[in-house]
Amino acid sequence: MAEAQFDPGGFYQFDLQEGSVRTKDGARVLVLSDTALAPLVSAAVKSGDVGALIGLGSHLGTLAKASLGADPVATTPEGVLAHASSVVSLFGWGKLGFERWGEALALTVDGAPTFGDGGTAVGAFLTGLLSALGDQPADCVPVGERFLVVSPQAADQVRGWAAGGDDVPTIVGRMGVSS
Amino acid sequence: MSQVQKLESLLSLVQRNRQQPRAATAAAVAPMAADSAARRTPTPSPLEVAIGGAARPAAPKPPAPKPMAARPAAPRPAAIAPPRPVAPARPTPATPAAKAPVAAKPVAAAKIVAPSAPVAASAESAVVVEPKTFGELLTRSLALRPR
Repeated sequence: MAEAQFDPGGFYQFDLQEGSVRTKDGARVLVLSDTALAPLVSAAVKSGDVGALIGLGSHLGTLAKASLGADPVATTPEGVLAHASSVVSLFGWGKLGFERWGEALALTVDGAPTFGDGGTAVGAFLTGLLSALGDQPADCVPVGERFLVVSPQAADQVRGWAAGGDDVPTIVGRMGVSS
Repeated sequence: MSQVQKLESLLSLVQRNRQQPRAATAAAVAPMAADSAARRTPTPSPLEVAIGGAARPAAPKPPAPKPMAARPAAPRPAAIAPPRPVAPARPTPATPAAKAPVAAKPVAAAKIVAPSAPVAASAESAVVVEPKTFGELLTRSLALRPR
């Protein structure tokens, strides 16, 4: 099945008269430098309020779905990744990648912005992205350089293992399909 | 004294002056010079310096300037005038196709990396079937629970 390629043309619409930038879906976006954004993100992470980051990821997931023009759930992983990665890149959040570790899905983001928070902010962002793409709640837990995609019910346990220094193979090896 | 008498005395005075102008001048100057010498002090007054030592009646003072009546301040224009358009306003169309800063070619990274580093110690991992859709891939990952 031929999948639509990502078309970056017209992704942003610059209205000089109004002084605004909008994405294809009409949502207004602000262009911020990472030096301006980093303290805001750090403060949000410290206060435990990452809702805005989840919301941003969700918005990008919706944009990727629209760009795909089909239900991501029924699309090949490569096809979904192509569109999701392009949208994430256009927002400057780095280069998205998928990895499969046994039954587990892990995400990588090369060149992601650094907020000095151990990946919590990027994890929240990816949580919103994946949940929107898959139409179901998912949690992206930072484990080293990767983000392990798990259910919200398993997230706390995985987070604890990751905080204890366990890597992805170790964590996935401790997990199994619930019957 | 009547007006006629005043005129007559004035005329006679004029005639006398015409006849003896030098004498009159000399007579007039002499007492003044004497008077000036008598009044001279060790430090000459500014007036004397100005006229070369000879005193001369001071010029009438100009009328003191009247204090200017405070006029009510006129209303000032706004500090910052609204800018005037330099060029006739033109509708700026929303830039249609901003050249995206990414290469438009298909994403090469769309291949899913399946690290060889294995999770595969368990029997179920040995029979992993390639997920054909993203939904399948995601569902499998979300189904994992701590043992």
